[in-house]
Amino acid sequence: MENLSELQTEAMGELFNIAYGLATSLISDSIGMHSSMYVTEMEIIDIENLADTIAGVIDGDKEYYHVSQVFLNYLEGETVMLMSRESAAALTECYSRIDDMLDDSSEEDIKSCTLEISNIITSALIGRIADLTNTEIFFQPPEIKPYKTSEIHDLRRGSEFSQVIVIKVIIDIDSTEIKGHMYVLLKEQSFSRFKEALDYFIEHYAG
Amino acid sequence: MKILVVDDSGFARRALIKLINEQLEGWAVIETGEGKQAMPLFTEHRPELVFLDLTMPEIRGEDILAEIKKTDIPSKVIVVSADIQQKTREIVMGLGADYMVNKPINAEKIAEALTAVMI
Amino acid sequence: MTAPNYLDHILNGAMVLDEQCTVLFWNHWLEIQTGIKRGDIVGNSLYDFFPDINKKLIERKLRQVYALNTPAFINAEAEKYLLKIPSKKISGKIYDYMLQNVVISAYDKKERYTLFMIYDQTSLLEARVRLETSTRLLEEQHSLLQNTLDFQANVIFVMDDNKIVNYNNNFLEVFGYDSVERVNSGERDLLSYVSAEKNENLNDIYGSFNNFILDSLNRNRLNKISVADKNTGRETTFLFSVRKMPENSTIIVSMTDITLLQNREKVLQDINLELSRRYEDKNTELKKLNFDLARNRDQLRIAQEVASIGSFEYSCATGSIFLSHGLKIIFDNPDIAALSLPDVLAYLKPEYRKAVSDKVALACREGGDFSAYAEIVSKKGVEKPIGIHCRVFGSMDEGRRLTITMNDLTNIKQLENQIKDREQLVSSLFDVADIGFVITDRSGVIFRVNSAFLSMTGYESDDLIGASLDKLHIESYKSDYGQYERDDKDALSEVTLTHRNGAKLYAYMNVSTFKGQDEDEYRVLALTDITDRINLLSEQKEQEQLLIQQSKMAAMGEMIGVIGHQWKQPLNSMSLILDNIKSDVEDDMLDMEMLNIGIDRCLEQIHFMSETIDDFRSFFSHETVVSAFDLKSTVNNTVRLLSPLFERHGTKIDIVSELDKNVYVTGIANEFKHTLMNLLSNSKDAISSRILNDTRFKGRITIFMSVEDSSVFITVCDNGGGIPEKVLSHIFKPYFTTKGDKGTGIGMYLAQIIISKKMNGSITAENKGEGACIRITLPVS
Ligand SMILES: [Mg+2]
Repeated sequence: MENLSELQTEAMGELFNIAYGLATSLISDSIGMHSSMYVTEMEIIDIENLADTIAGVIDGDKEYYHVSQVFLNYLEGETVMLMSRESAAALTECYSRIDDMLDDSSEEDIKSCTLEISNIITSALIGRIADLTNTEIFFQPPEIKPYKTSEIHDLRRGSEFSQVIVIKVIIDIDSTEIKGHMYVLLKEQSFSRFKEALDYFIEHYAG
Repeated sequence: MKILVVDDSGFARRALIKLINEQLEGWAVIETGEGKQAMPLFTEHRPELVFLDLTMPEIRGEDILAEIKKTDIPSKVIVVSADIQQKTREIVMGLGADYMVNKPINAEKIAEALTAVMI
Repeated sequence: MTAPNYLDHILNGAMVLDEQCTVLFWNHWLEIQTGIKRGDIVGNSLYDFFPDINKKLIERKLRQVYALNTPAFINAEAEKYLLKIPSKKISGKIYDYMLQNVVISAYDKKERYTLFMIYDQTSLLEARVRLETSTRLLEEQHSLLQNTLDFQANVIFVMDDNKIVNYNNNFLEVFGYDSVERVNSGERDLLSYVSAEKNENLNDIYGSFNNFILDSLNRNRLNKISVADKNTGRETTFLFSVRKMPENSTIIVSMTDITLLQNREKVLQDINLELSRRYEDKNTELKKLNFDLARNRDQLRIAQEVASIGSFEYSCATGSIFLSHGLKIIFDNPDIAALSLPDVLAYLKPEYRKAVSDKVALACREGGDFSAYAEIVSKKGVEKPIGIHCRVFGSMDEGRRLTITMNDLTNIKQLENQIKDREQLVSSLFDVADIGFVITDRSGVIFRVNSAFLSMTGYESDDLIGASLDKLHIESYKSDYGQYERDDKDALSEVTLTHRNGAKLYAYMNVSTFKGQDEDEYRVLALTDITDRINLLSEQKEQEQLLIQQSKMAAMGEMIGVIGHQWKQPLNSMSLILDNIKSDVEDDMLDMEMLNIGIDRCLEQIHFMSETIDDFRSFFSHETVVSAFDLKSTVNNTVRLLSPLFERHGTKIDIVSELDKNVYVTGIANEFKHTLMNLLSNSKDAISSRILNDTRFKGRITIFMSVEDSSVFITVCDNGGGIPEKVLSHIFKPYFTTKGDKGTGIGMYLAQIIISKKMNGSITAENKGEGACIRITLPVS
């Protein structure tokens, strides 16, 4: 991993593991079904390589939603979640089993559920870092739009960000598989703070 | 007296073993990060106590737990997992686990687990 | 429950709910927007007042806030709104209910209270929809224009295998009188007479005109070519279309002069540019709004921190005391029943009691805020260092009240943070976000302003302090909110004031009056800049105007079709007369009498044609003056213009008038004509689709006119099959069209604007008999 020691990498894995456990339990409670979340891949890349990395996982024949959410204060950056329309509709279908006001063929309801799950995952990931390090992070409302390749290139052009944590996540709800690609874009200083947070975590939990 | 620790995260194993050593003296700890190694190690060492993670690549902790309970070795199994759903707890306890601890772990949680299975 | 009072000043909704969604706090903005008073809703379930709320959604969001300790959101684009609040806009609204972004965050973790901040997003999203629609409209009108041009050929010739076999006179005018001979003898290819756009070398690409034409035919596209005038060299641009006879290799080429119309196209392009510029502006505004949102979040944080500090209120006169929840937490005693100051002081270590008690007494006697340090022993026996801050309210006469806050300083790190945060808090409350504060004495002399106010008005602090309030020229400009008086007589109103550079600013203003310690009265003016919002509104109005302009242009395109049709007949007659004269000359049979008859008949036709042009001109004169005009003749003229074209489409227009004398109505006559034309053209379209199914179907449009008291009724009824019921209720909303991709969707909306807004009338639609009836009611002037 770029710039992370082996110890830090392991700690990050466990930290996110715990965060996802929390998010999963929240989702399960919300939809009244047992679910599991797997993180199948995790790596840290340079912002320069983001567009290529995304191009490698996107299926050109599918439509994707692009949910972004800015967070501020102790850590500053933006999470970007890409989810195919298929997955988003499947997710909405799961939600609709308990909330009969939802309709998995309504564009607005699909957006609503995608925003919600993306906010939960972002909150769980970033919020856990704040909790475990006793710091405070503020979240802006997430935004959703259709995914366009050009906008990912724009992220690089601003060059405010330096490193990206790439996470591929699969949520398994009652044998419905929902795939999402989560990218946590961090500013230079926030990346070093993230490393400090990991050290703090290591010291307090496995030191 | 032996303890087997199964968790794919090295970090989690170290944290756990550190706490075990603080609370139990003179126990031999065998550890593995590969779920597939769990059963061979279990039958070889016949540990009195197993700490078992659930989410691991290749094999799930639930499957290992079922295998352990099929043998005639009278081990106590403590499941340690970040999956904190009530339903998961029910499944794991249904498979015969003796105790379940939610991650992140700390000294109190481990002490409680040890007390529960030792008495 | 008490909440920081600035939540009443912000231009967003703020409410606090407990876990069962009982309302604990409801801010002033929500009172105004929903018409529900704080006193009525607090203590009751939110669901009782808003039964449409999706409970499941709220439960999920609250669960997230409690479980993850992070904010949850409701998005105006996805969920539309949380509270169903009917839109306050009357004209031009797209959404029936206010669209809202909502931020839900923990207000009191222990008690499980949550704070909902509600942001109105309606104007923004409406502006976006408008812009998207205008751009689409423009494209549609562009293609309409193109299609219209397609029918207006003024050069026609027939080719067979690179030879010109037939042609009209204009052909010779354009290509030269020797062109046919030269082309047919093979001396010169017709291709050498023309050039294409972008300076393509047609000769190299196609070799011959025939190939060029065939290529254009295969690609089935609209083509432009230019032909240079033999004498002047000036280029004329033609649009040309080609038809191929099925049974042989004959090709018919028709060409239309669009040199003048190309200019019109440029106008359209300019409008397009202008629109894209405006869209950019809106985008910037969007970004600014997001920024504002972030700032509001800072306020939120401060609000939460306020909640974490314990405080109590002490009345000097009665000695009564009121403890906040936070203080109970600091004392580790949620059930505390402190009734008097000594009850509270009992928690202090003995050595601090006298000092604090003395300071409280002094504050009651002489006023003056104070800060002190003390240590307490909580109910659980925990010793805690405490920072005490006291603020004095009210005068000696009416009885002073003290608000005393206590901060738990146990943790040194917390101490540092809290000192920093308190400094920030004090300055923040005065310098909060975008609310400008001005404090004046009884006579209106300014003695304090905050930085938000300075940046709002462009003044330096020195310019204002000591100056009279008159300097700012604050004037009320709308009475909408003036009538709304709060229970505590604090008035919120809309005002204008003057920026240092002379620009006019719009603001919401809230004025509160306080009595100071020195018995003197002073006023606090809280102002929020709403200039941007006001400007946004006026920009929307401009845009409406632009749309009317554009629809005029589309109507112009349709009128070209009408003229073309009107002229065809006289042109044919004249060419016949002239042909006769020509052959008589050739046969030496022409006498003076026959020539004169021919000339007279030609003049007659020319007179008719020029009449058509006059009609057309007056129809499109740029008259913008509101005046009284004669309804009957206006309707007659419009129908007269359209009838020929409609009849060609199998539709007859009848006028049934009960008006026995001239009836005048007030407005811009042209706008009324457009409206009528639009209604007729809608009827025509509906009828056309019936004719498509049954070619023998006879279309009929009847215009009824009658007068009653001081109103005149114009009803346009057709037998086009009517409007589907579910469509009927939306028909006057903007961008609504039943015509699929063909209609512009704006016509009925503009009709409604012109009739109701500009002419003070009304317009309704219903199905009657075999079709639809649109009924216009106008006041007689
Ligand atoms: Mg694991």
